[in-house]
Parts: sequence; structure tokens; C-alpha cells
Amino acid sequence: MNNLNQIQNPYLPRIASIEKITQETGDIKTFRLVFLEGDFHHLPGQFVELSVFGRGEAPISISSFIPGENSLELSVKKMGKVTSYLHSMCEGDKVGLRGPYGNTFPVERIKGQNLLFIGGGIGLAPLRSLIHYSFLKRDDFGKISIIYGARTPADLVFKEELFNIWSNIKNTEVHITVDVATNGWQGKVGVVPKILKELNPSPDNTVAFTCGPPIMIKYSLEALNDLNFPEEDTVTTLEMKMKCGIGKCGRCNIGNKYICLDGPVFTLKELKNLPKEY
Amino acid sequence: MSSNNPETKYFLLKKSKVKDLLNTLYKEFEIFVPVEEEGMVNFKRYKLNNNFNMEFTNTLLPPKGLFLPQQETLFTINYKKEELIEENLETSRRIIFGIRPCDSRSLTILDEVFKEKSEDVYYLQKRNNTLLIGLGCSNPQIYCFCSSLEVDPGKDSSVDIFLTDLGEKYLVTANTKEGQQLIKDLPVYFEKAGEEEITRALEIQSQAREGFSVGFAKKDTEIFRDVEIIFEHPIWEELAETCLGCGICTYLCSTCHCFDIADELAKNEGRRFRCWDSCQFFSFTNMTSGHNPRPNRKERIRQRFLHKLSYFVSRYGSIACVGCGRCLRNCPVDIDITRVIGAINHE
Ligand SMILES: Cc1cc2nc3c(=O)[nH]c(=O)nc-3n(C[C@H](O)[C@H](O)[C@H](O)COP(=O)(O)OP(=O)(O)OC[C@H]3O[C@@H](n4cnc5c(N)ncnc54)[C@H](O)[C@@H]3O)c2cc1C
Ligand code: SF4
Ligand code: SF4
Ligand code: FES
Repeated sequence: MNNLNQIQNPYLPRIASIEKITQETGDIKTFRLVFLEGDFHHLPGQFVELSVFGRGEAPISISSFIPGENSLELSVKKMGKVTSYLHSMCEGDKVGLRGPYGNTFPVERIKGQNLLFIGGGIGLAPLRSLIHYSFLKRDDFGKISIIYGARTPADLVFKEELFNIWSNIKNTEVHITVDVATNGWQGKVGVVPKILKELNPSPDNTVAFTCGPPIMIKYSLEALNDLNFPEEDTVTTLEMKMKCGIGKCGRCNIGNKYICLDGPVFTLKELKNLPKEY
Repeated sequence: MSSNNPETKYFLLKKSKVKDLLNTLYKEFEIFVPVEEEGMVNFKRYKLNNNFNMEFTNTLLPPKGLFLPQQETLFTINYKKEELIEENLETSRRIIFGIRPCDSRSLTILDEVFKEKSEDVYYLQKRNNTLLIGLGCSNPQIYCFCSSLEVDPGKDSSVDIFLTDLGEKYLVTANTKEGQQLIKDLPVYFEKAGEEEITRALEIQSQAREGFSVGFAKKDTEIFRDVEIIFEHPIWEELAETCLGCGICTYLCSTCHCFDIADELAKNEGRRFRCWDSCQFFSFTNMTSGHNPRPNRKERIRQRFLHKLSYFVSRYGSIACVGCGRCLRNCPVDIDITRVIGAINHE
């Protein structure tokens, strides 16, 4: 499909081709997309509006950080119209992308610090862009710890990276857990917040990033608080229904913040200043 | 949307000549005039010698639809050629004839939203292409309260040309270069105004602020700055008991701009369009997971009021209400923003 006037018209998607599809779990696939024309620049934490033409658009976090290339990865759970149709598409098929949109993880502010990632289910997708970024600039950061859990072993995403790549990078720890052990699972069992408490990470010079199901985020934030992580060093992402992605359609606000423009990344401190309506 | 000119000029336009003027402008412009049909006045596209009604108090539908249409194609999709076909955004130049001061103010409020960060070309193209010829109010209806919101019903300097009703004729004020040019190009319709007419018009303009039956004091809107307190106010629960969630208040609101985007699929050609949506609907914020941050009428009616009176103010600096009165006039259960503000402050 042609690339039109997307610079002047923010509603026109750019066309990208599906280069590679990875089946992560029964209902999650990762799509590597390549723009047919033009560059793509983004920072960890941002999202795109993904178009499946004729079906609609859906906001999806960029789950990769691939510098110098005009490609990106989206890890998508099959939910409704757009995401289900996307799951039926093949390598070589075309989709549309608008963005990148939203704010970013505070990549400059966290330089020189330890990073603690706490993810659940598909919530590891937005964190993965920052994980990629921090490994790419490995010397900019101290110790990197990743705590990740899913319901069962079959629900774990990015298994290759979790088990074989990330844990082999220097000064990096990966802890994987499941709520329910099936298929001869030998690893940790227990919900993410429980494992977090057991690991008892020190808040010194450390920034924590958490993303996952609302209930996991809630208890992880409580656990981080018990571990004395300051509110400004506790970072999470918010999800609200979106359409335009650019602060026009009026849908994704929490108080006076538009999650598509001012979010989706917030520190716990900022979160506490928002009305409880998310 | 035009550049302001500090030097305003006064002219006179005879009412008996308005139709001729419109017929002349019709050659160059697409004109929208207030037309009465089945007891309702709305802005309609002017055709040669059309009847129109300049004695209206205000239109049922706000003119926002001329900039953010109720439904608008964003682009079409040609599947065979794998192409997106952009809508032609070039429209002929347009005039809105007879826009009221509250409604022209609503456009400057909407501009804030549609210009923030990414410019909304669909809205702005229409805005830049449209000359506003405003009409002063001297007879507020019982629902009007624009004067509570820093709108001057008698005098509107945000429009290109402003008309003040002097009985047989209008005093014509040119506020912008574009407005002055239009008058200059059509000297047969506009004569220079004399001192006496100008004085009379200024008097009429300054009296327009009187005679309002509803409204509130400016300081009564300050309470909305404290989101923490106002968010938990019991009034939202009370309003939720009567509100039907029909969304009329938002559709007819001059400043409500929320929309949905969706795709329509046909055989070889599809399209993406946007259409008005409302924060009063459950589906507005309901996510596919089933989680809805505003699941009940209480949260939704609170959103409507706080968006206008609090969130918009801290984001863009002004209240997103112009006192046009459409919401109170048309709400089936008489929910009234002026009384809500009053009750929060004085009960
Ligand atoms: C900032 C952000 C990042 C996200 N990142 C991911 C991701 O990386 N992977 C992933 O699988 N999902 C992600 N989601 C959730 C994803 O957007 C929804 O699952 C998706 O929109 C459902 O669309 P659908 O067309 O399949 O469902 P339908 O039920 O057909 O949805 C209709 C439309 O409603 C809107 N909508 C519905 N649910 C949501 C929702 N939860 N959030 C936002 N808009 C919604 C979308 O515009 C969608 O197209 C993200 C959401 C947000 C806000
Ligand atoms: S018009 Fe009245 S009843 Fe309908 S949604 Fe608005 S406030 Fe509720
Ligand atoms: S809230 Fe009511 S009075 Fe205010 S601009 Fe909207 S419709 Fe008019
Ligand atoms: S998605 Fe439209 S305002 Fe945020």
C-alpha cells in the first residue's frame, strides 16, 4: 500500500509488512514489522496504533528496541476484532502503523542505576523494549533483575530470551515463576508479588518497572512499598481505551491527563496525584 | 480563523439587501445560514434565493458539526491496489452567516484541542477555510448563560465580521483583514456607518449582558480546581439517579468533541471514518478485557462535568462550556449545569 501524506495527516497510517511471526503462547503472537518506506524512531515505553485495514485500529506497545532499522516488534494477545484478525494474518501481509505515541520510560534519568523489572503475562511486552535498550547500552546501567511470571508454563512469553539469552548477559538475573505448575515445571511456583517479596531486592540506587494484570500491579506496588522503594523510583504503565492516540478523541483521560499523550508511563508518585479512575 | 486587525471599521447593511448579498457571495463561497424547518433552526447550506431566519435565538445543533462532522471519512482503502486514498481536504471557501457569540467562542475552545501537538488536519482545514459572520444577541433565551462564561453576547471580536441588529439594518463591524476585504470587494451592499448608528449599536451591545435568567458567579467555578475534593463530591451519585445516559447533552454541546474511529469493510473498497461519540456511554471506555474505568452513570456524569469545569481548565486554561444552554434545554430530565455549579457551592 502507498505511503501518503502522513506527516501532515496524523490519521494516515504508514504501511508495514509482517516479516516474521512468533507464536509465544496459545493466544499471543509476536509480529516483526518492517516499514515499506521511511525511518522509524522511538524510545522504550511508547506504543503504536496498529491498523488492520477494514477491521480497525488498536494501540499496542512496541515490545522491541531495534536501533538503526526501520523495524519493530509487537506482541499481541488475541482479544477482539483487530487483534483476532491480526492473528490470522501471515508473513508478507501488510498492516498500517501510526506513531510512535505516548511518553517513554525515563531512559536518561535511570542511567547508572540498577534496574528491576517486574512483569506478568503479556505485561512483559512494554518492559521488553526497555530490557532490549538496557542490554544494548549495558554499561550505562548497574545490575539488571527481571522477575517474570505467568499463569502456567504455557503462558510464558519470550521464552527463548528469558531462558537462554537474558540470563547469560553479565550482571543480570532472571527469575521466572508460574502460578500453577504444569507439564513437569521445575522452576519457581507462586504469584509475582510473592516472589518479589522473597527475593527482597534492595531499593538502593534501583528503579523498579512493573507491568502486568491490574491485580499483579496492585500487589507488586504494595510489595515495593514494603521494600522501601521510593514512589518516584517505582514506574508502571497504564491502559485506557484509546482511539486517536493523539489527544483528540477525548477517551483515554484520567483526570486532566490523556494517557495517549501524557502516558502510558507513570511513576507511582504521579499516579497518586491522579483521580482513582483507571 | 483569521488574523486580527487592530483597526476595526463600521458599516451598515440593510436587512432588505441580505439575500442579494448572499446570492452574490454564493458564487464564491459555500454559505451556511440559519434555516427554520419543522420548528427547528439549524445551519443549512444556502442555495440561491433560499429562505433563512435571522430572528432565531440559537440553532438546535451547534455549528461544531461544520468542522467536526457527525460522521467523516478519514480515508478510503483500495484492497486490490493495496492503496490508501486520502480524503480531499480542499473545500471551497465557506461562510457561516449568523453565528452567535457563544458558538464562535466554542470554536476557539475546540481549536486548543485540535491544535495540541499533532494538528488535526480535517478540523483545521475547514476552520482555516471558513469566514465567520457573527450576529449579536439581544434577547437571551431562558436557558442562556454565556455571560457567566466570559462570552459577551453583544459583541464578538473573534469573528471576521460582526453584525449588530439595528432594526431595519445591521451595524457591520469588520474585525479581521479577511472581513474587511470581503466588505471592500462588495461596496454596493455596505455603506459607511454614521456616528449616530455606531453609538446606538454600542448601546445595544452593552445592554446585551442584561436579562439573563440563569447563570453563576465566576468564583463559583473555582472549586473545580481542587480535583481531589470535587471528585468525591456526593452530587455525582445524586445526578446519576436521574440521568438517563442518553448522551443528548454531549451531542448537542457546542464544545464536546469526543469521537470514535472505526473501519467499514466492503468488497474491494473500505473506509475509515470517525463519528461523534459520548462519554455518557458505557462502551466509551469499556475495554475488550471487560474492564471499564467508568462503569456506572456516576463516573460518567462526573466525567462530563469535570472534563468541562476542571480537567479542560487545567489543561488548556479555559472552561469548556460557553453557556449556549443546549444541554439544559434538551436534557429529558432537566439536568442543569448552572444548578450543579450552584448546588456544589451553596448547598
Ligand atoms: C498503551 C497501550 C498499550 C497496549 N499494548 C498492548 C500490547 O503490547 N499487546 C496487547 O496484546 N495489547 C496491548 N494493549 C491492549 C490492546 O490495545 C487491546 O487488547 C486491543 O485494543 C483490543 O482490540 P480489538 O480490536 O482486538 O478488540 P475490540 O473489542 O474489537 O476493540 C475495539 C477497539 O476498542 C479499543 N480498545 C479495546 N480494548 C482496549 C484496551 N484494552 N486498551 C486500549 N484500547 C482498547 C481499541 O481501539 C480497539 O480497536 C495495549 C493498550 C494500551 C492502551
Ligand atoms: S441529556 Fe440529561 S439524561 Fe441525557 S445523558 Fe445528558 S444529563 Fe443524562
Ligand atoms: S455544557 Fe451545555 S451550555 Fe455549556 S457549551 Fe455544552 S451544551 Fe452549551
Ligand atoms: S486516545 Fe484519543 S484522546 Fe487519547
